[in-house]
Amino acid sequence: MNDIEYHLYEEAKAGRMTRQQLLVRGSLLGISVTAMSSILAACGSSSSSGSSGAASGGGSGTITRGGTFNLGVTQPAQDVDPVTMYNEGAIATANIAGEYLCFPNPDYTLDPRLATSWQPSAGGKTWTFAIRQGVKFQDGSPMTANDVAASFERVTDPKSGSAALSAFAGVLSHGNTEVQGTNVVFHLDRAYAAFPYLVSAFNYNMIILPANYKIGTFTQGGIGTGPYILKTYTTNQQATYTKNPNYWAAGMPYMDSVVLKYYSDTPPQVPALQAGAIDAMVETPYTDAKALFGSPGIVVLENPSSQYRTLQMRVDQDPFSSLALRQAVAYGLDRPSIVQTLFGGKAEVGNDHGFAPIYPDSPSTSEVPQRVQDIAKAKSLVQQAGTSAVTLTTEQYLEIPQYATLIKDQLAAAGLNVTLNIEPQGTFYGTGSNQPWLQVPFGITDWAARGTPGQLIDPAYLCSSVPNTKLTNSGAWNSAHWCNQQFTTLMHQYEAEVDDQKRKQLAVQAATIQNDQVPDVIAYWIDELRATTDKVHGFPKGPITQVDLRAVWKSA
Amino acid sequence: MARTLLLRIGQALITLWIVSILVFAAAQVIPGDVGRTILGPYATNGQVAQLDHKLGTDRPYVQQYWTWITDFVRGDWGESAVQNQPVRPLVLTAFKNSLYLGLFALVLIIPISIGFGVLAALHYGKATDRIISVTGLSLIALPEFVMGVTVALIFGVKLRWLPVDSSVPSLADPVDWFRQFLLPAIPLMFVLFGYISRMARAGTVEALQSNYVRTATLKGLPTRTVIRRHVLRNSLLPTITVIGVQIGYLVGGLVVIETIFRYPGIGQLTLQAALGHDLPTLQAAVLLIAIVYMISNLVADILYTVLNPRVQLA
Repeated sequence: MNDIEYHLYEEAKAGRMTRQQLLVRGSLLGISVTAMSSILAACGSSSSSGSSGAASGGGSGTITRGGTFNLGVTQPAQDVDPVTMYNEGAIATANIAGEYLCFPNPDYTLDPRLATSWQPSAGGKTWTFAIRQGVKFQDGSPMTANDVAASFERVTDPKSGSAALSAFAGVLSHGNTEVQGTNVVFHLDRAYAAFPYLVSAFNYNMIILPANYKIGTFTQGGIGTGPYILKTYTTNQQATYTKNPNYWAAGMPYMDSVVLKYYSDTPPQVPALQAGAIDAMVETPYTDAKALFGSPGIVVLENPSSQYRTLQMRVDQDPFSSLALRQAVAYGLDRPSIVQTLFGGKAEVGNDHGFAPIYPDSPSTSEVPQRVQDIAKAKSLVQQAGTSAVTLTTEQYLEIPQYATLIKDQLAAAGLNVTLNIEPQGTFYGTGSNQPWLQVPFGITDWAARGTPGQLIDPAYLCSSVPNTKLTNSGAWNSAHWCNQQFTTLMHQYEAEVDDQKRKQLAVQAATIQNDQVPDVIAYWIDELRATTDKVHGFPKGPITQVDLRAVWKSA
Repeated sequence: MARTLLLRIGQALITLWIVSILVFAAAQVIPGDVGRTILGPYATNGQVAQLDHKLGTDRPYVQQYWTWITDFVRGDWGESAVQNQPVRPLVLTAFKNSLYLGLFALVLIIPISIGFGVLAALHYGKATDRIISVTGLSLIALPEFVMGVTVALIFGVKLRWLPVDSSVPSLADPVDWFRQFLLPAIPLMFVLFGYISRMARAGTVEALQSNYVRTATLKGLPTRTVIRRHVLRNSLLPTITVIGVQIGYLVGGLVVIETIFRYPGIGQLTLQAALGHDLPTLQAAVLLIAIVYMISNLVADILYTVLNPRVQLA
């Protein structure tokens, strides 16, 4: 056992780490499964591998090989290319044929894929990834550390226009990825404890491609190391794949072919699933899933996530520059009833800070007490602030208009009159100098799930003008325009801290500040849903944006 | 006749030119921009501006329009920057698919509607007539998406007789045509039934009350022959005009049906292009639909004069 493993063993034995935290730390540090199980055994708990995660279909039974797997997804908004893609349809298309260094399990631990292990050094400023040997690209050429390094250099090059540039900003710059034998070494701009998450499928542009890959050629097919080979791509219709006979994981995949069918939206996928035209949907928003609960032959997989909505209040102008008014809004909402009304209970209650319950580092409610509705307090805060009417601007998207109506009704009891302004999604996001989601004094924005608290908090809650942070993209989407030096410094320290206990303490401090200053009310964290037929097995229940088909099979 | 034909074509071309200007103008007004769609919400404004400049969307509108329209008439419909492929094959394939579906619906519904319309006229004022008229009107009033979702749920999900996802059938197999097209065609047929049967009924009623038909009956001709030889030809003239107009609706207005049944037609392509700010595709698709509309109207006009020698193309 090396130093790090011994340290984890001690922490676990002393009871300072829960099993989940142990698994996360272990996977973060690239500790092999056998070493982890020996640590866990030493603590007297039984281990589960955590790889291939909790999937659909319960016990494995006998795997039936062969057949075609039909999967439904919303169609890509642009031509599919792993380097530039950003929307669900394109990500699903690329995920089936391409792979990452590591892949998140439903519980947000990481499963080694094209990397077999990883180690931090220099206090987290350098990361060394051991690259799996014997992997071939689908055209037969071997996948080497050179291809891995080239993939990262390609994505971090500003000229490529990759969506991952914002994920890596301030962490990994162009020119700092190095090949050392069969390892790839990353020299980061600053210490970053959660770097393995940044190279995982959570950062969806990080598919490992050949060094000579040309951007824009992915849809020609046959590119990647994944379990299925892209054969045809028909715009706005579907993508078809065949089994990769040389896939590196023994025995996988199990299907002969995959058809990824594109739909203009999620509602048409519901009757398609019921009629058997598709075997599964990549993602099923709650509004569509409602029709499927209790539908015979249909299973709706559920996984807590960090997907949420910000109820943002601009702290740099009237009326929400008043802390009293912001707290009034926070105390005015009945969060459990909102969760029940909007999601039928399939969401976790939020506590106005960015550490979603799914994250292992998140403070518990004994460390940062859960805010509950207090109408009397809200009323007095409203009177103290002296404002009685505000306008809430937001977008026509999924449950958000309904959420806005609930907010209006609940805040009325606190003496705050809310006028609703619901815009089409395109207008709300806008472009150029007119982007309401970043400018309105009071609004609701939807956010997709992120793999780590840092990735969630950095763009939305940090202050870009705090000196010496070197966080070049922080605060890019800080719609509340909240600039709190102490919070920003704490988050900076949090992201750099490799020691677990110290990290948790930093998380508690940061969460307390955000909860108190409440620039955004975070009332819920959405459970992600994924509907499949009951014949589908091995399809992970989450994270929803990622599509992992290597272990999928269909019973007769 | 040839001279008037040329005149009509000339008028159609001028109308199309005006339509192209309107289409171009409308496309520019859609909120959002191409660069943003291609790069996504997380790109910086600088990157988006750079891409927009590369795509030429920041040039003056008149210049953009002129480049587009001169290329278009020469057959170069441009590149879809969003889908990374040339526009013309994309639009023409989608158009061809919609045409198949539209023709299927038309070929099925025209005889049925005309048959019922004539039947209603023959039993003018009686129960049969009432039932057919009221049914026709009710079906017009039902929105297509209601009908479309209903048939999809009943025949696709509950009974599993027909597929809910329609794909383009293999041309050689007529059974496959029915399998793929029957469900999406039903909502279209219901709407068309109302219009066509009412026009057929009105025309037939008028013809039945005319002198020449009374003479034919008094002469001793069987009713069947009277209808076939004298009534139909006269009563169908207004119906043909209606059909000509409906063809344009069929091809272009299929957005809802194509979305429900996931059919890769031009309605769906236009919707996606509008949502994704794929302007070259959007403009080409809308202009193509306008051209089809013009041609079908022109053909209906010409057919009318051919069938009715009393009318000359003025």
